[in-house]
Amino acid sequence: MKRVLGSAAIALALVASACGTRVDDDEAARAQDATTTTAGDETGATTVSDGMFGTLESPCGPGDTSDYPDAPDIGVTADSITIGTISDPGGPRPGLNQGIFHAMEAFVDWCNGQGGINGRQLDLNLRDAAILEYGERVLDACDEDFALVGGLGVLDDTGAQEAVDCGLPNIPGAVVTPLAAGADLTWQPLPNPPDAYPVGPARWVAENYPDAITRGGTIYTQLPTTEMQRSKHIQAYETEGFEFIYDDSAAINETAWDPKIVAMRNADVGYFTLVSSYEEILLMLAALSRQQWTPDVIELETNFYNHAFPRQLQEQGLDPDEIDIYVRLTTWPFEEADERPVVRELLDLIESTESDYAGETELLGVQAFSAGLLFATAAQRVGPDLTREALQAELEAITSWDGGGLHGQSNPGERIPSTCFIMMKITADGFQRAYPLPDEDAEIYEAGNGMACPEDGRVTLPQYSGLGARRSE
Amino acid sequence: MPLLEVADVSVRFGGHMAVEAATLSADAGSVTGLIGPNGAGKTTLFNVICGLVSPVHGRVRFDGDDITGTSTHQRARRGLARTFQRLELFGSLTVLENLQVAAEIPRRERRAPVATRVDAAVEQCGLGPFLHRRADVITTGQARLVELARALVTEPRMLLADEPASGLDSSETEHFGDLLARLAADGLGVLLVEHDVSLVMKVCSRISVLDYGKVIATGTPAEVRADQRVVQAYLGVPVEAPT
Amino acid sequence: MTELVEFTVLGLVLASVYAVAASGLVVTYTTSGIFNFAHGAIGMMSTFLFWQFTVGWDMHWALAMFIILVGIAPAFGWIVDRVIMRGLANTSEVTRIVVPIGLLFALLSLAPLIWRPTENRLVPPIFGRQLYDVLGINVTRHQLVVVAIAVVVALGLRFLLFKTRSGVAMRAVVDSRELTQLNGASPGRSSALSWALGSSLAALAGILIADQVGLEVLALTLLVINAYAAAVVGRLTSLPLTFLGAGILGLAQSYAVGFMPDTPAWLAERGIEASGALRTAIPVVMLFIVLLLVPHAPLRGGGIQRSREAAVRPDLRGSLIGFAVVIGVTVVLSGMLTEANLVAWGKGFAFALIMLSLVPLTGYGGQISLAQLSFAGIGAWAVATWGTNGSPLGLVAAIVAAAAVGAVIALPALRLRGIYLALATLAFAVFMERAVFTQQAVFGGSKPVSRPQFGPLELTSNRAFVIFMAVAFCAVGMGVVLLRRSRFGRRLQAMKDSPAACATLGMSLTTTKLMVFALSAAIAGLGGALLASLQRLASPANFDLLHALPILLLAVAGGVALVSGSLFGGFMLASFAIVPGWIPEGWEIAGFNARNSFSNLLLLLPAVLGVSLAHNPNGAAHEIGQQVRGVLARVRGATGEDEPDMVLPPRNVETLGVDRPLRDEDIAAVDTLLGLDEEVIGAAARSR
Repeated sequence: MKRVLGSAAIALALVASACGTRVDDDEAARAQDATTTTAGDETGATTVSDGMFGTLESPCGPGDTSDYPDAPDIGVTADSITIGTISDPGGPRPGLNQGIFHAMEAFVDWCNGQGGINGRQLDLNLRDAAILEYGERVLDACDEDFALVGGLGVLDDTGAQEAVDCGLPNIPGAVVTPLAAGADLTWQPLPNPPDAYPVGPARWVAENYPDAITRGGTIYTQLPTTEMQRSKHIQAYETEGFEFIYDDSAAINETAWDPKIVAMRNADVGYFTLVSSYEEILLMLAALSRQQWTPDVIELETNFYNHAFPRQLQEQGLDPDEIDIYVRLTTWPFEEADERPVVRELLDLIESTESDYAGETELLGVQAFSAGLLFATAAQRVGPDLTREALQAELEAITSWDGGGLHGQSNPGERIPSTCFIMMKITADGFQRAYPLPDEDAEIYEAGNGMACPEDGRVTLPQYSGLGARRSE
Repeated sequence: MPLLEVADVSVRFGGHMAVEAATLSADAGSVTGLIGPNGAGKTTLFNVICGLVSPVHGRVRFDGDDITGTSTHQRARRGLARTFQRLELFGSLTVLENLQVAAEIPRRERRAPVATRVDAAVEQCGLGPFLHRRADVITTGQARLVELARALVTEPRMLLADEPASGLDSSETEHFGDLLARLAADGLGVLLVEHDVSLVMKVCSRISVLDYGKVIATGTPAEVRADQRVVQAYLGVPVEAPT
Repeated sequence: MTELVEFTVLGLVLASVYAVAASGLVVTYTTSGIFNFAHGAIGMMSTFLFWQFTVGWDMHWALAMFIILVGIAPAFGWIVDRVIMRGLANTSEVTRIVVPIGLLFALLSLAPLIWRPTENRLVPPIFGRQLYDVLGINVTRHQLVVVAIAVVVALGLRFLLFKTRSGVAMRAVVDSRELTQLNGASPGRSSALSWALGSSLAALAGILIADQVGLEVLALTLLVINAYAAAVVGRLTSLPLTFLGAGILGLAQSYAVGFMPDTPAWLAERGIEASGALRTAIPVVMLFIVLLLVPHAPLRGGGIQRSREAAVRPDLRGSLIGFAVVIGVTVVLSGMLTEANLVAWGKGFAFALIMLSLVPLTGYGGQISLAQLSFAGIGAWAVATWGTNGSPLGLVAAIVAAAAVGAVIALPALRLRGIYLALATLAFAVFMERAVFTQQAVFGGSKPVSRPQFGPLELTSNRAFVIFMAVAFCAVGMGVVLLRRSRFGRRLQAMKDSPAACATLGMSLTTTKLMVFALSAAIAGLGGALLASLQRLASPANFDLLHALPILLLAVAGGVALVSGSLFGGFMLASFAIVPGWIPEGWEIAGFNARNSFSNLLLLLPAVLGVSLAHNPNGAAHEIGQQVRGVLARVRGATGEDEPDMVLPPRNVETLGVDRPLRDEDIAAVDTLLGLDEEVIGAAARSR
């Protein structure tokens, strides 16, 4: 049977804006008591009051479909729109990214509960790529779906060209490979084009650990895609004054962490980052605990935002107060869901949607939902004569997008990534915000609506420009 | 000059000497016998001669050339062929294919075409009736003939025959003996290891006797039969004159 | 100097992990003659069970360990022996390698279904985290205890195997089951005991090192591959040498981290991360080197292998008809399938081609290779690099590049046979996967591929390309059929049946082996190139070791000596993707989602088939062929054709002399059966 080892989950590490955190049952329980604007309807999903989803005007609503064109494009009838979502829960890693399916089911229920898009009801095709069949699922979608919305395929390069060739618009929740990230006909709520890299977090680290950044170290898990990610990280951070004195790779499921730790200790590494998956870092941390050495600061990508991290880190024998580990986020942290009603609302929504793919809510689900909103916003603006080309035109015009407050401002239409970020620190009580803080960094906090959004907070790496699947003329 | 000479060869296996300072020779156009009790080292000596085992001491000469360091297949290409005590036929091939494989092995010298040599060997050994059967479903007697034929298609000059009558009944054994004698008369040199002492006495012109890895007697059949040391080595086994 | 000491200590701590993992493997091999590829998987399952008991159900760790080590693991080993391994008597080396791989795959597929990977599980170090300073390095109490246990295990095993009656019996069974039977001992009991012991040791290893390795299905299973190098230093039989091997491996890994220089800039600029890659590949590089250096048993002849595998001689006319049918069916069906299913069908042909590459190599030549997917990967890379803008040169390059690498790998492997050859190809495959395919300079993640264009013939539509793939498969398949009947085919079979006889007939096996490896690699390379062209993407994700396993399993289960076997296997693999789609979504049977359950069942199928080879080594296609032939014969009425007979089963030693007096042939047969040759008799005579 086809298997792609841990590389599947690890490839996820690449997604600059993806991650796999889950919500506690406790937090969900609290949700029941909080005041949310809900009124159940026949699908059991919540509807919005006053037509808003956070800061976004809800794109879903009623309409008179009686004189709508019957089949303006694939997947569209007078009263329905068929969309597809691709993910990988059914493959060799059962349950992988199933939260995406769950979130999209919640989105469709929510939208249909308001009348759909201009009155057209949404029909959702959940397409399970089982990791290795991404290309086949895209081919299925080409003929049946109006657009792909909210999905994430671990091997999305295998279908990137197919999607472009059949003119299928793709508004994914996140993207993994450069071929897909830079592909035509792709618009992400949080774009991550291959040649851009965020440096906001780098600046923050440089400010707070100035003498650590000249003694930088990286380790990446040996996979085709992680190597590129690590190269980009090093190049980008070097533009901010970082110098890297240690660079090593680890095998998947590495057993020999201790020698690497000792080597880093001997080299006096100050700043450290690991380009890998959540499972790997716990083993590395155990080795840190054994050798009783830690770098000055460890900074990690979003995919390490796993709610079990603080607990399991302590189970490995480490004291969070004695080691500075930061995870950067580009979406609103679940720990502060109560301070941002739209996030609470979303969590409740997902929680209350029945699904075969129900589990703990993942951050990828949030991005999927934002993608759904993005799609719906564009589709709603097109109006009754809904074609793929018209959709494309509307998507290109959306140059400012924050999912109603789910994440920072980005520019999906021009594919410019968001520079917004939040640094979360691991403490004994869980993840806690380290920057920007509402009182100490008040200006930045206000300006970025709770996040730090430096204007020039991204760097372009020209050697990766031009990558991506292209439509042939 | 003898075609094959084994000079002072010793072989060590683990802790003991399987063969010690063995010297013997075999001529073209005659059948030389090598006998001895079970475990005396006969097959080991064969393995040394054809190169499957390395001796710790001694030399092997073929047609005047020292072949001690050469590899097995190189020795075979000089004209040294061998059959095995435990049959080593190519079981998944037919009898005919067994012969074909052997005949198709390229040599530097020009030889008769494959088909000619194969037919000749089939004729000589009488393989016709079972030529197209798979080699692992024929009887032992037939298999022995096939191994012999297979060695013959390579047109060897010396044949090392390791217990070729093992597993044959008396009439098959006699037939085999006649075959060897005819081949020798046609110019082939044969070094024959056999348990069936009467066969050896009948067919061989010279015999060497091996016991505990050492050559204890060499001579004509009559001489060897009368040798006291040989009788002692075979204590209990009556040495009968051939009829 | 202090650095050297530090990294030495670190290396020895690593070594203890490998030593524990490898010793169970060596025990199983020494006492059963079978290299248990599933050893790591058994350890993995035991470790998950341990987690379930201690973390999931709050059991005390000592009790959990007791239940697993003394109860569950040995029981499992006993069952495995009874049901599976017993049946491996009188089968070929290939079958003896493939069946344990089937078991490996079964466990590998089963574990994630029981313990879903969505949750990250941890096992704490059982014997405590207290730190002890050893020459500047911190070692936990648990790690020290592991070292101690490794030593105790080694000593205990030595005592068991050499000083106790059961132990000696266990070792005797390997040499000759029949002889053991004649001596009155019960070989069944001995082999059951050795499998039980082996399983227990596997479980012990898993549980002890779980805290360091993490509770991840693949991690635990594949750790043992790193330990193979240690086991091979011990020649798979000597425990002290295995420990030495573990020491060398641990030190090598540690020193590489501490002292290997970084990749020089001129390589790094070209996208070649040499140092990092080498460091992760050290265990398999060491494995390869050790395999080449360790002395092996020379060719001495083994008698006619009365194995139960039958290599049926393919019938030319039947083959032509078969291929025509395949192409015809493809042309017709391809017009009726959805695009997605069409692509899946195409993948079937690609897999079938890769499996076909095993037919001349393994089916005819008896050489085992686990590296076919690596050659396929080379083919994919070549077609991406040289097939730009549809140039057919890409396919040519794929074949040539793969063949060249195949020949180069065959060179050092020429003197290796059986399990050693299999391990060498495994080392190569892992090396390619970890150190080569991950390089930016090679795939750079993945490379787009354009479909080949032959003059005016464009193959841009999926349908056209799938038909092309069908034609390509049939053409190559026909070539392989003709090969069997050719001079070269005969040589291959001869090489498989008796390398000793080949040598004494003057055949140089070197050239033959080189050629068949190159040919096989070329076919696999073509398969990989076609797969990449179909997907229009060359992605190394398709070519890793874990994919190689079901391909090997299905190829052999389909029938590795038969071209039809590879077609059967290839399509079975492809159907795993298509068939569940036929089950209506949302169907429920007994509360389970039908489609998902069926998918999961299919996951296990290659494993089941692989394991069933123990009972039917000829594979499914052969069985089907036999049935068809039988039916056709009856339909035709007369048996005009000379049908090849089935291989006769070896005579049962125990019934000799019962129904008639012993004859000379019987004695000869007994000699052969007992594997008695002069050395044994001679040695026995002298020892009196």
